[in-house]
Amino acid sequence: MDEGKKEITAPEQAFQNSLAPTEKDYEESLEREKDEETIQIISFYLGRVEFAFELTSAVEILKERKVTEVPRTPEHIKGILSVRGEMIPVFDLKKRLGIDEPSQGQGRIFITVFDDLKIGFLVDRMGSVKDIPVSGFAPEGDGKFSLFSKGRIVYENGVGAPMLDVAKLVNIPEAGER
Amino acid sequence: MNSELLFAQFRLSIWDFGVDLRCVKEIIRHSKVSARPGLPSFIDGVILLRHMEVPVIDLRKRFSVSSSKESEIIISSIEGRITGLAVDRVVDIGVPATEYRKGSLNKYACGPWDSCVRSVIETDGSRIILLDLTLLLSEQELRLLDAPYESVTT
Amino acid sequence: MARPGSRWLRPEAILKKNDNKGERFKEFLAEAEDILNSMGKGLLKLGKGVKAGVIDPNVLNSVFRSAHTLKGISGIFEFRDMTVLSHSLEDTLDMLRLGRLSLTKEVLGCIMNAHELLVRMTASKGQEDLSKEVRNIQEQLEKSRTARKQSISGQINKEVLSVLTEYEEHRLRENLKDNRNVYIITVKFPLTSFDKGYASLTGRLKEKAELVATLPSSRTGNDLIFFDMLIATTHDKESILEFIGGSAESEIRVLSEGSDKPPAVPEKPEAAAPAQAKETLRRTSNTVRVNIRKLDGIMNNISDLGLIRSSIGKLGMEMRSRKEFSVYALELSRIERLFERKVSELRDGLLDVRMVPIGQLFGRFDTFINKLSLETGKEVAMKTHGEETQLDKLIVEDIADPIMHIVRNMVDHAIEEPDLRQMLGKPRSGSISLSAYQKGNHVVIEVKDDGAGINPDAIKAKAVEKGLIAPEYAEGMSRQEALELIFLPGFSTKDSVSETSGRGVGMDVVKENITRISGVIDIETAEGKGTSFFLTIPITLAIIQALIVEESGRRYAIPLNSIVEIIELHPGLDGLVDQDMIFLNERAIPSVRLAWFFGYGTAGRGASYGVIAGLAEHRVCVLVEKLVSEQDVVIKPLSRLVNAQGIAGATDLGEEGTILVLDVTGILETVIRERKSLLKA
Repeated sequence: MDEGKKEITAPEQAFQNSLAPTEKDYEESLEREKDEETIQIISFYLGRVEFAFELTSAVEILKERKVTEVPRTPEHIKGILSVRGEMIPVFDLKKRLGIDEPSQGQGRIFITVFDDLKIGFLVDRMGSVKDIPVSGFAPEGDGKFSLFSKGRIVYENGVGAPMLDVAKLVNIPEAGER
Repeated sequence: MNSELLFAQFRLSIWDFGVDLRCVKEIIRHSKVSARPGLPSFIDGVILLRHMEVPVIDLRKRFSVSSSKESEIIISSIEGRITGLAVDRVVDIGVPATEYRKGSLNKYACGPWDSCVRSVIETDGSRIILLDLTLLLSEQELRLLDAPYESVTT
Repeated sequence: MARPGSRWLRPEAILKKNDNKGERFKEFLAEAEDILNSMGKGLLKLGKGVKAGVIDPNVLNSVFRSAHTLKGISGIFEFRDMTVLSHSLEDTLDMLRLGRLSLTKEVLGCIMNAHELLVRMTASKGQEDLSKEVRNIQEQLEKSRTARKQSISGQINKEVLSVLTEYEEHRLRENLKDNRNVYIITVKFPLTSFDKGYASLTGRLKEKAELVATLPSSRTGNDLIFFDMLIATTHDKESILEFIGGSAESEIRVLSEGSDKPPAVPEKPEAAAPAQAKETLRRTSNTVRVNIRKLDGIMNNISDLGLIRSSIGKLGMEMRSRKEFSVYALELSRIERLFERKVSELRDGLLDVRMVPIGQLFGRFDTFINKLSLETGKEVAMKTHGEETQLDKLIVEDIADPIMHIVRNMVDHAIEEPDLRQMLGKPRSGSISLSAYQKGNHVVIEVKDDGAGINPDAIKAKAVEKGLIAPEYAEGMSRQEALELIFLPGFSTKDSVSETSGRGVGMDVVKENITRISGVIDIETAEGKGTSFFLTIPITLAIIQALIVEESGRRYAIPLNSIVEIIELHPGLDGLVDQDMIFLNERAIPSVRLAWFFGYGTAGRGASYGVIAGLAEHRVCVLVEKLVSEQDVVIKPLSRLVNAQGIAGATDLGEEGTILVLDVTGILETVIRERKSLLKA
């Protein structure tokens, strides 16, 4: 439970007067949350590390299944998968991010829409959908995965996850290029 | 007696416990309890919840049972003080206690929690020890919870 | 029961099937596209008007209305950039239509820039951050507004003036300037039916005059209503009175009568905007706007029908082998053939629905070339031929950009300045012609200019200079090979930044885009005369007949269109099979084992068949282990993100899973390129 004790930075303005917040403090915090802008994210695991994507559109989650290999493509592109007649490229995220942990059991293919492109990502297991207040999101790079992330989400209580940038992961060509 | 009691069921080690649902505010699945200087000893840390620092009491430590690696936190209201209770896992919410048998504590259900046990009920073959949260903390501990909050600035 | 707030997994958030907001936004984009389209046409007309010195107020008004509508709907969707820009545009257009600003070439240029930026915004669906460009254009528009027009003072009754709106006053002055007769006709109608009478009168009056304003009259009568209609016309008082004659009792007052100077009358103004026609909500068009993805769904169903048909066929064959079922088997066969015919018709009908005339695309180039010519100061006219040639809608969209880049390059580099052209004995205005014609299963599109042409030696030199080819290699090149050097990546990086080609998209990208849709691009040029680019592309990618082959345990589909011949390989064949070449009919054809091309091993299994494929004059022989079957497949494109050479797409074979469809042109080109470099080394 106490992995890595962390000093907390308290906000400038105190939201409680006593060690344990009162019922009133609690109700007020709920009010505040309603007003705060949030973004919705969906989290997943590669090995034991948690990551997240911003949820900007409907996603689909499929059990891992056979993907048609496409030759002469980079290793992290697992191949293409036909979903309701549409050919969707599937990216092996562990390979893309250089995470070398073995998978335990069946993975999941998580399909998201970016721009007008449908993209599939192979992950180990899915996490959950969360609402993160904009304040819980730090746009600075994260070091290890900074090449591919938009920043790090800090969950309420210190545990966080890098929020991946789909465009950087799949290397979407600039307008005019291919 | 009260046939409309609903409770939240959670697990500590091999035992299942329950607390009155009316005292439960929310449940945090992934928790990171952080240290903070100047905390009374019965408080094991705080968690940040919407800019509030909520003191957390680890029930497994308090009841001297072994804890699992994971923990979930029940944000509860104990006599009007918002406190987090760290448990292994919250199993269910909103379980009705349509009948309960008081005093059927047996060898199985005895433990350091005896002082705050309300009753024991049986549902679906599992035994659930219902706790009375108002009996969990002592007067002194409650007073410490009311102590003025000093923010820590880094 | 009060559930406490908790942070559990919320499965309903996932698999949200109905993204309402997204749908409405897409509709908004389609609407915006339409509005911008008609705005563009209006701007073209205004451009011609500026040249002729006469502006049609109806066109100006309709362009103004377009900007106004765009401002409104973009506001609903909080599309800030668009709202801000269209607002600024609307302000300028308002001043123009009220006569407070003259429409000069500069002002029109500003407006066209704004229009283009709006088009770009719509195309990028609001994803691009264009705020800088928006501010830029806003400044331009603001500057243009400061050039005010001098108002023309006229002798107009102050009383009349005071009741006119600014627009009406402007129209009045304009008509006075053009020396028209201005009359006030007082008309009266019975109260109970005045609306009909009024509508009928104004409808007829339009033929002879412009109705500047309708004002309520001070006169009254029993059960009658009076109007004062302010009109401007070239006809005289008597003929007007005669004309309206019976439709209302009326009296006419003269406000101003034109002198002997002939008025500057524009050719009969273009038919008024539909809003002025008889009021109705019914649309006259017979077309239905369909999202092409819906057609894909139907196509999938049709190909499933195809699979079902073949199952019926197999059943029939099995039954035929048993004597007691033979009668039924025959009947089943007959039904199967009928079914096949119907499915075929269905499929053809659907493919037909997807076809659009290429004129739809050519039409977009009008404005584009106009703009390029304004920007570069070169005069360019566009010609088109074969607009009715039909192509799959998606393919039309795929070739839009490549053609645009070719045209841009032509205006930038190939077409000479008017003075130079004159010296060379060419007409001052350069011409770009877009033509299309069908050639079998393909459509050939020719983009031609009458500019300076391409000099193969200059190309060679540039390629060597850029380090793209070795000098020795350049020497041995044929003329055609030299010309094709412009398709090398890195060839056309700009040495100097020009205004139009600043974005630096090279011919290599153009070629890649064409190849992606299984097309081919060829060049022909004559120095001093001009250059032609020929794009040969398939009419439709949708359903094709394909040969299924097997190689190293995997199956692939090869479009039958591109198969010239299939040969069976035996030792001691007529033609000789070499490692890399096959000799057939005295022709050397490059050959490659499919497995090796894809980087797989062959597990020692030999190739039994050679599939000779090609397009136009190019040929390649693909060696494979086995031939499996021949069937219709629906090619689905691979995502843009998967850039695989030699692959045109993929197709679903039902139970057999998904297999890749080969792009033989791609294989051919890669093979040739790779071998050339080997030869070099």
